[in-house]
Amino acid sequence: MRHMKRSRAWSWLKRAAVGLMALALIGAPSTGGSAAPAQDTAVILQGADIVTLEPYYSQSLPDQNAIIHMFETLTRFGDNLQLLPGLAESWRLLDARTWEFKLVAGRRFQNGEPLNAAAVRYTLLRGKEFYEKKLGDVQYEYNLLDLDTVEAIDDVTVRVRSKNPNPLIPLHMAHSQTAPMPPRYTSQTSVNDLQRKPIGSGPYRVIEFVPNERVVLETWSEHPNRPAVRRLLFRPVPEDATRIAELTAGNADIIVNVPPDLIPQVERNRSARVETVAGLRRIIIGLRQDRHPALRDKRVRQALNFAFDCRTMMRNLLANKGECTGTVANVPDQNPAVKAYPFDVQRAAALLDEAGWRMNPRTNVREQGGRALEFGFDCPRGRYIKDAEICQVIASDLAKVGVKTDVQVFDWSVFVGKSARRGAGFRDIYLIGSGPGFECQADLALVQKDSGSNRSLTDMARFEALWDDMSVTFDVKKRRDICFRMQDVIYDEAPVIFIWFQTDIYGVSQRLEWKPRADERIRLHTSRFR
Amino acid sequence: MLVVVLMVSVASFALLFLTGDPTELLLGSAADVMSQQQIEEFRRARGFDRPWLVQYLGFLTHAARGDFGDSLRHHRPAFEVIWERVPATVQLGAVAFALSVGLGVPLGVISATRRGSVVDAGAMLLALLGQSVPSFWLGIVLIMIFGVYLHLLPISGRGTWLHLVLPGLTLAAFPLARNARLTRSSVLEVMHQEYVRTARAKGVPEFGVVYRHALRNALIPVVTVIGLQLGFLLGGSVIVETIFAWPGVGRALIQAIGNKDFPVVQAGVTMLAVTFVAVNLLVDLLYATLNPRIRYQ
Repeated sequence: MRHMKRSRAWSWLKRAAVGLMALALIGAPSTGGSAAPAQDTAVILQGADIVTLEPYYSQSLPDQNAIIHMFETLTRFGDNLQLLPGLAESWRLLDARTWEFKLVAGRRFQNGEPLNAAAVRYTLLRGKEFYEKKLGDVQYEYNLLDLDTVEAIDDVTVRVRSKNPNPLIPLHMAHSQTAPMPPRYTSQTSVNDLQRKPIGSGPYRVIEFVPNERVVLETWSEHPNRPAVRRLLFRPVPEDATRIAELTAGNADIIVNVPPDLIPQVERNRSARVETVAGLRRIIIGLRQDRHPALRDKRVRQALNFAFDCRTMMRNLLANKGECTGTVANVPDQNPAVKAYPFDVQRAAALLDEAGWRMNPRTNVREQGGRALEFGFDCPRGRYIKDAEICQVIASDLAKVGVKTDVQVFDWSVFVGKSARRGAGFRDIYLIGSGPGFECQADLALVQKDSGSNRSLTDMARFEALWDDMSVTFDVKKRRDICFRMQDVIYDEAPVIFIWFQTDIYGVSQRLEWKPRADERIRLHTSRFR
Repeated sequence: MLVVVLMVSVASFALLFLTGDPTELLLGSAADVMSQQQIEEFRRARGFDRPWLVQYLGFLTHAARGDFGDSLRHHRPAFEVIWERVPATVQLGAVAFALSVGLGVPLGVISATRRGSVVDAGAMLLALLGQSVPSFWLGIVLIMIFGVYLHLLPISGRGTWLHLVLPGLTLAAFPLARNARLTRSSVLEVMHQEYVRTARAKGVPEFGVVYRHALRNALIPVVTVIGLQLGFLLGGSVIVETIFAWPGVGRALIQAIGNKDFPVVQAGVTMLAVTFVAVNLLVDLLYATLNPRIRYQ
């Protein structure tokens, strides 16, 4: 009897093992996988899941990279980020608040619905309704769009009216959250289905969406410009080393975010190459002007820029995969005359002396009236390339001219909370990256006094006068001229420590012809296999 | 058990308040382009303007029904986002569990019966490595060997049976090693008992002595530990799921934390905690079944 009771343990163990193996067997699908990709399929490995294919529900980059293949916009950015015609063949300004777009005639959505002015009107007003009802993820885009009315004048003419004068409306028409959607299908389909099986007018259509695992797109045979690559397979692979392993094993065609120190690992492989592009994400050290009095003094801010040895950092930390900068405007609006601050410790020291911050030889920290030149320095980790390491380098450089910093590194989820409400949670200085505005004025909002993205509460009178001027200037050449002058002012005022435009580094298989773009979008419309 | 679940609910609820104003936390940089009125509307809509206790009771009542609110990123119920990942996590956990038991227990028995031999030393060295090598390192090494150099196994993702091998082995390494060591010491202990000597005196073959008499008695403490491993395998696979791009609950949690998608974090943490507590309870009950001398009052 006792023997029988003791045997229960063994018997339970055997049953459990058999049961669990059966459970695993049942759960394992029989197909799919990550073997070498098919000849006609480009495999793109991104760092995060594609959550939705409905453009009005997402601004996330992994989602956007699939969406841009399925949807087209009235205007679009070319490979050099110049604004080009898209579904609209032309556009013109009727008055300060109204833009008129002429659509390409005869276009249709993938389900056969006509792509006309009525469809554009339906889509933009749907976006406006989302904005007003706080649906989807359109708050940022539609706040900037400032949409008032949309009129369909005839089948190919649509007029977009903003609440205030808005020279940037044609730029916003290149954003996927203004991409036309077929009215009948969109209004009759549930949100859930729209997110997984949307219908656009782009050259690809979705054929498989397995949440958290993969999205497969295939060329739409009726598109006027059918791409050469027949299928696109998007997979999420969050770990950098795993993505590189997939590429070097021949299982992937494009991988994102290759860390600079792992570039040699890709380059050693004959079947893969590294492609880099100077991105549009501005990485800066914000200098809050409402906390430490020293940061209100232009000479101190300039001294911090002179004290930072950006080029050495670029060489030693970032594998020379980028360039130091002295502006926060993106291409093609960068003022070519504005260069990065030179590394000049003597000049930095002289400026700090001139500003009244004298070195205390006992502590090696500068002081003024008994107050030390010491800043709280907040840094994220893992959000930007080598973000925490860049902070450490800058802290070390600043220490050499007697500026002490207390560096604190935060996980991004905590750091981003600090950045809210115009950086209310930040201490004196902080590292942050800012995405592109796709136009000079939108880029320079980073340091404009009323802008939400101005987390340092910078207020530069010379800059603000130019800003006001630009806001009522619609002429492209005049805007460019004002833009250049604003960059001169920013360089001189040094409201930030300029670092770099983060370089985007991709691993690409040798069989695929593809070039990266500065806007971080992975477009394969014109790619082909060798 | 109820107390533990309640404490988990408090911790889960408090997640939103750890860094101050939850409205600020949820909106992040989106608040920069919103007016104060819009921000206040958001606060009211989420109920963050109510007293804490009222908010907590509301959270508790909804959580009991599996309602953690909508995911901020997925725009659908947070619990659904977690729940759809459960099959992948269970599948990987089941394979790792089967490997850890199926290989760990025999390894421990062999090691015990050949105590002091090269086999024993080798097995215990493997066990030592299994317990000391971090899973992220082991995972990458396995990927390089079997995926990149030998091209034998898929590197990442979920698909065929082969996709389970590398993440399964990586996840199983630690519990396998622990099972082997525990089984070895447990078998060694019972091998000195009188009933084992009696069995040998009766002329029972050595195989029968080990597997019929010694192992069955040695397994009771092993079963207890193995049961607790289930909770570890379900909740502790975050790193392995990330390395192998396995679409499980752990990876969803990491992504949700990165995206500040707190409803999903709350749903995931609560679900894992409740699962862990439930598994512990199950093991306690099972222990009484396996060893009738134990009775619960």
